Amino acid sequence: METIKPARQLIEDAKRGRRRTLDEPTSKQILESYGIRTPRSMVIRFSSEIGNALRHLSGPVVLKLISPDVLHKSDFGAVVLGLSDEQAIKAAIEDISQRCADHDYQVEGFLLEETVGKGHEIVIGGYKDDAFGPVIMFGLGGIFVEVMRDVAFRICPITEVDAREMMEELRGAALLRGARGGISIPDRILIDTLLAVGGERGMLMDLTDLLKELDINPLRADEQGVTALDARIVLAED
Amino acid sequence: MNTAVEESVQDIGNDVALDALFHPSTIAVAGVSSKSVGQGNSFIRRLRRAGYKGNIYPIHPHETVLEGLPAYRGLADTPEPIDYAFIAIPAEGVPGLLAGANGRVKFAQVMSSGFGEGGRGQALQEALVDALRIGRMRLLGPNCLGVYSPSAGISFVEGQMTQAGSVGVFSQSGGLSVDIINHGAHRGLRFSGVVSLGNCLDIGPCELLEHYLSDTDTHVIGAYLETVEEGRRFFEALRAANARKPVVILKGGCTAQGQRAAASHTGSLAGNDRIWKALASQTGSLLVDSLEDFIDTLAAFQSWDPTQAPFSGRVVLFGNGGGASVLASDALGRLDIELPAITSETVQTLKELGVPPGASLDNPLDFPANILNRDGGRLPEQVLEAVVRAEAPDIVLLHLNLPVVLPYRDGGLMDELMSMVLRLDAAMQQGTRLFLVLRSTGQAAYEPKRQECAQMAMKAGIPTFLDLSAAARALGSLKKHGKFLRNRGFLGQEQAIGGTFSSRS
Repeated sequence: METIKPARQLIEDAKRGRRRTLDEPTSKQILESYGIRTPRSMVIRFSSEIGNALRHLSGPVVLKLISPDVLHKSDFGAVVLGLSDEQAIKAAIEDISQRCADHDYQVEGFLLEETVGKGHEIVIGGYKDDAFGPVIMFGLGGIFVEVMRDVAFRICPITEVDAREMMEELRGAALLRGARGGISIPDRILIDTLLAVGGERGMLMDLTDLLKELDINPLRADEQGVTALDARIVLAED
Repeated sequence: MNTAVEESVQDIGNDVALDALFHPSTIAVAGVSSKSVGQGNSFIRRLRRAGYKGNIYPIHPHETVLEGLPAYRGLADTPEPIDYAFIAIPAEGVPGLLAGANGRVKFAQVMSSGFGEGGRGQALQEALVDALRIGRMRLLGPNCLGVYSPSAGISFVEGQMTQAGSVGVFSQSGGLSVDIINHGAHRGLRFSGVVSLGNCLDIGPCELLEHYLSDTDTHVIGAYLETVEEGRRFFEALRAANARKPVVILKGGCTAQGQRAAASHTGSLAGNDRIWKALASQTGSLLVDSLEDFIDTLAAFQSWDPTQAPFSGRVVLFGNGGGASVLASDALGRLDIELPAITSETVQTLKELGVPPGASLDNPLDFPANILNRDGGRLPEQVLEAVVRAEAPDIVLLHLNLPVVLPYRDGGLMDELMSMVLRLDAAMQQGTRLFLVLRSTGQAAYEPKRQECAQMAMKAGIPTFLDLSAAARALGSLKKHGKFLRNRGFLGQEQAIGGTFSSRS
């Protein structure tokens, strides 16, 4: 596996490649550099690399397309869950590659990730406001964010008290604390994650000159911690 | 504002304290007529009526005496330097006049419009910015009504000036600033200042905020805002101040803002209203939705004492009208304000006082008018004294329904209850405050008495409201502010007003 490059260098590399939106593996590397865990993964370009990748990963894996032309991977059928053997992965890759070719979409490679256990799905995002600077958003995933728009915003940098109040502001806050027999996530885990993104030394403040928008959606959270299952970073124009 | 204008404004520098704007010792007035009553004439007449103590210098190209005062040809010709120049001449003449000030004017307030509003007058706007640099002064406006400063006798509204006080307001709408003064005076607000900002070509909302935060006369701040270009500076000034002076914000144009074009999910959920809500949560500022709410909230905070413990939300509700009490309890409950139950010891005390059946012995304390009338009105006072002593609530919310109370002894009961209100307020123990609601139907028969009672209470410094839901909303703001302070470990005592606010550090 590659060692983690500093976030700034990753972004400079992407800019040299004339990118405005970072691909999922790069976005996740940047999250890792701010202490936000992502699933163990391998990037492959050819089916011949599947065997080697599977030796590095355990359990059933998730296959995801890496393409600058496909923004909504799930909608395009470019995320396949629960793959365990080389043949099934190869077939999935061939299928996705064929459909990309039909649409004239570029295929840059595939991401193979370990499957992450059960937990709550939350969303953390950010953007840079013209007048107020970096802003962080926090919400519960799924219908809570999509339909109910149950999200809390704060101007960065946030303090620990701000982070706690963001959690309390959500109508679905009780779910995160184990309502209806669900998993209870310790407040500390969510506060630390919010601070890693929007705190004084968090990602949005640290990279404020480079970032335009950030989506970490979903972020899987359980008693042990959080794992970013998907991430997208949009870069600021120079 | 275009970039060129912005850069040249920055050249002017904005490190001058705004005190002279509120307390100028010299005022120049351009726009005074010898033949008619222009804006300048009215301004001078208001200054004199309000007892402005400094020197007034009319400016005119050829007249020698105006409003009985010697007039001067230009801003550089007056016998002494000018703190505040009131400019109400046609826009075309403004840049030339200001450019000739030769550094002898601290602040120019330009009332004239025609400097870029509605997309017209861009060239004049640029000429005005150049003139500020050449004449070396700061600018309020253009297109603004200026400064209302009761302690100095400066006003932009006709009629009696209110007493000077502790509420500092700035507004990005001139018309609304007049409404705030008139409405506020009627509701007992006493201002340290009200500023109409106009186009904010130089002095803007951030500077006014920073001024009021450090101004020792100002204890409560109100802002009507439409566009804040320096959002970050505004946020940082508020955050550094930590809500030790309550700031009430009425934000116009929250929903009219178009949704940002966004490439991400987060961006599509973001919006101007979300940012202002975030800002309020992070700074302990109070975001309100209407002018009425703005005035009510300022009225509630005007009597707030920053050395006291923050409002925890414990309220005793007392008054006549059972259903009204229940509805008010609901309204308060929705805003996270509790009406704690009266303890059994206190209930025993109330029984011993002879509270008859028909009055509730729990919170809300519902006392029908016929029971209020017992013992010549002595009973309610004894009850409230006992409850306050034993329960020590943050606030006693006392409501009286005039159409029901007034017929008793031909208004005699109402007068006694008002005397009781004043006595109770004066004798209130540390930590408890009295808020008054004078309910009525709006029928003309009750209004004169209601106004008389309201004026009496407000004069005594009692926050007074005209209906229970308005009072509940204002208490909701107190609760939010108190919660903000408590969550951040500010518990009163150590914070003194004034000196501790370093906004320019």
